[in-house]
Amino acid sequence: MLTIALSKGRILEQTLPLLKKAGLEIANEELNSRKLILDTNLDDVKVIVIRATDVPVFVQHGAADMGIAGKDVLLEHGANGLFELLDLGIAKCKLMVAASSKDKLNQNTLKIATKYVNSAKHYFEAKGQQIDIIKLYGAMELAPVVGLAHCIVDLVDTGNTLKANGLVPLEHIEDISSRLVVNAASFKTKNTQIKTWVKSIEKNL
Amino acid sequence: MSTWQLPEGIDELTGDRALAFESVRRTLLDLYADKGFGLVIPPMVEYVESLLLTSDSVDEKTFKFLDSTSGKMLGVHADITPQIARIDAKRASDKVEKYCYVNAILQTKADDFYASRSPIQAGAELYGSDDISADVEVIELMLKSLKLLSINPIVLSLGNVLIFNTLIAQESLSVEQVAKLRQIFARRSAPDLAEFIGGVTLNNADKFSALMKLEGDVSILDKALNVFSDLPEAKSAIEDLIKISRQLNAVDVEVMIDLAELKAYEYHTGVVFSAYNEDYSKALAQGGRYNGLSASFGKARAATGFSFDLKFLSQAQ
Repeated sequence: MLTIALSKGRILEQTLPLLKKAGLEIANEELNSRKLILDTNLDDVKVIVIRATDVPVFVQHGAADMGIAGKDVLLEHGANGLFELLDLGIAKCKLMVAASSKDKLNQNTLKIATKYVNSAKHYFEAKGQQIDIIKLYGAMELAPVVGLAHCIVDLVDTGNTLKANGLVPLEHIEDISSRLVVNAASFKTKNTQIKTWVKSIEKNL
Repeated sequence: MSTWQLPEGIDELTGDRALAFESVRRTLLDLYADKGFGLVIPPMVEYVESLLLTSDSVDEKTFKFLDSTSGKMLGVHADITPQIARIDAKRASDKVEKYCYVNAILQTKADDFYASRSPIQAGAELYGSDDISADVEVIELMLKSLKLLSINPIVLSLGNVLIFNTLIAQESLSVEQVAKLRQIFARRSAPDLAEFIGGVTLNNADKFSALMKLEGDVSILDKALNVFSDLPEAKSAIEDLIKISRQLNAVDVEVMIDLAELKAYEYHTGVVFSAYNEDYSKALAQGGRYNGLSASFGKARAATGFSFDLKFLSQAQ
């Protein structure tokens, strides 16, 4: 039995066609049901659809053998005990520092609003910049506007939300896309099965 | 906070659980004694210099405090292996020496979510032989230990860090770049490796990419010989694995070759191995060759051994 953890939302929409091409299908009734463990067209593969941030946690602890999660989530989690075998090239965006203007970043202690606490810490630590982090769960762009923080660290796709709130993307931290991750122990105990999946997904990218 | 609350990651065994632990501890020690491994009980604290904190991962895991009597820093043991290196060095023997231990250790952070910060580490170490037969002996003893603990079937993963180290020696990379590369291999991130290779000049970029994908059944070793045919050291590291997989006498064990496996502890220098079972999401026991540890105590001695958390595994039965 193989369990695959998928991220809800935008990533899921782009993941399903990839899996279908590799030979794994989930019926619409399953997707639309309230079930948490979904059946697939294959008897020995089950799928769980969970919040993106939970995917590395489930895979790390072996509750799922494989998973699909954004690089942003993996960086934040630390991805211990996980193998990141493939870049799926979907849900692409950038992790960036944004503020209303460049001089806002010139602070002795920079106040940063973000949900990417670890990534922000690593980035600014490497630059030798002293920081204070304010963890937020959404509407990051609001923080500099209302004076809660000097800047934000967040994903930037088109940049439209930033623009609408008077912010500009200033520093590039990391390119983000979705990755196929595998539990390190499952990789050993279910090696043949997992490699077959990885190969057929890779072939269809 | 109530006074009976234990600190995070600290646990205890009581009643039947304690009895189950004690019963397997005795059978294990009987097995090790039977195979000629002598019991040692290293002290709980030592001078930090003796605990070989040159390994960053051991250093990070070690609780340290100031000894007001000597004015020196002491550390609580977070791993028994460096202590065995000290004990063996003190003996100044030229012969093969075999040691075993079952000891409570303490770690500042647990290895993973299911691990405790106060594991009871059991293991065996064989000093003074650089021969493949020594590796085979400790691997077989590790497999027997797991069988005693009723863990069945077992997938045995075999690798050799010498291959990676030989490749690194061919390049002129900075310490930071090597650390980054190790980290990429630990995450087995093919995309990040491609990005890394794109950003630096390497003599053997294709070999690094090939190494990351060299895993599977023993037939992969022939393929590996081809890939590393022009690097004698890497080739002999692969030949060692071929010999081990041929000599290994293990029933109910599936051997899996994983040449990209680099151990968590930086002190391993050759063959590395770990045991897995489908019901567990982590390695249950692991070990390998570490010929460099003794040098810190004055005299380099070949050594190989394994360890596991007996407290965790005794409760898994």
